[in-house]
Amino acid sequence: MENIALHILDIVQNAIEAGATRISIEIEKNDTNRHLRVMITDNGRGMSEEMITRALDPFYTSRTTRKVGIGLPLLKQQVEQTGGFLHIISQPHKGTTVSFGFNLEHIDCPPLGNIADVCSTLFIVNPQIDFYLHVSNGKCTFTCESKKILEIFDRLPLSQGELRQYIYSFLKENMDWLVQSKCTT
Amino acid sequence: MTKVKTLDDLIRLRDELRTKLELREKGEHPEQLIQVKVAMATCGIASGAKEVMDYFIDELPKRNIAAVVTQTGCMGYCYAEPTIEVTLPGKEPVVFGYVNKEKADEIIEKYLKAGELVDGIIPQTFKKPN
Repeated sequence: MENIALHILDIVQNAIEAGATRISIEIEKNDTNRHLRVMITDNGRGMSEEMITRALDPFYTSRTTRKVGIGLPLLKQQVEQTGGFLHIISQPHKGTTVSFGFNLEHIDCPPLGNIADVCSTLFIVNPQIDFYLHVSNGKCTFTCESKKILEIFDRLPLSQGELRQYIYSFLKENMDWLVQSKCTT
Repeated sequence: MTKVKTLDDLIRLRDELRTKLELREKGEHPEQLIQVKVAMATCGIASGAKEVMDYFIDELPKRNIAAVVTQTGCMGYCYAEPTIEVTLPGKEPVVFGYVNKEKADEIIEKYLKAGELVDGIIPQTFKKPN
């Protein structure tokens, strides 16, 4: 995986696969100790305790089309390389929370990637899912809900491309401080 | 607003508006729209499915094609990622493998616009049980 944003996309895809209708993405960046914490919570079908342990085994998957499942193990390896962590909390029929942390200073830490880009794409190709995005760096906070944004454009003859542009610039404008590490608002 | 100077400009404008209208009308009946599903599991993302999906999202309206792009999981063709599944209205879905931007361009021009098949189709050897 090229960057952290793509890992987030991957974990969100797991949530979609689990039949989630509401997915929350919380990103917390600590500019003092240079840690990044991401928490992705869904209300999908959840996992039993046994499944949680097996989810981190690359030779286990809930799918039937192939025999390996490397999304979570790959992320676990990436975070642990930087001295970070990966936790999964899940209950059958209730949902799953995947949280992970990177040490941004570590030489093996992948770049952050474009979170605004990934989120805008997620919002428009999954209009049926309620996304909740919360980003903070201790000083600045930005929160938004995909349903509220999409409602504004409801029933307008806009193509997905145009919609993505608008949402992307909205998210990017509000999350610029995440990359530059300085807060202007 | 783009400059309108010649009749061709007007025709282009008309096509743009027509696609938008079509999108809205058919939006209520998604089965009448072309559907492009991009496989976005770990294997897909790692091989560039995100860029391919953005390419479709941005290019389809530019080329006045009324379509809807969605994401799906891995279809089991990890070796051929990025893969996409295209469903033309009233037709069986077709899966294309090794889709980069060039391939995507070819698929849009040939399959989406004219219904011509292009190289890189992954035959559906199994059907999902109902």
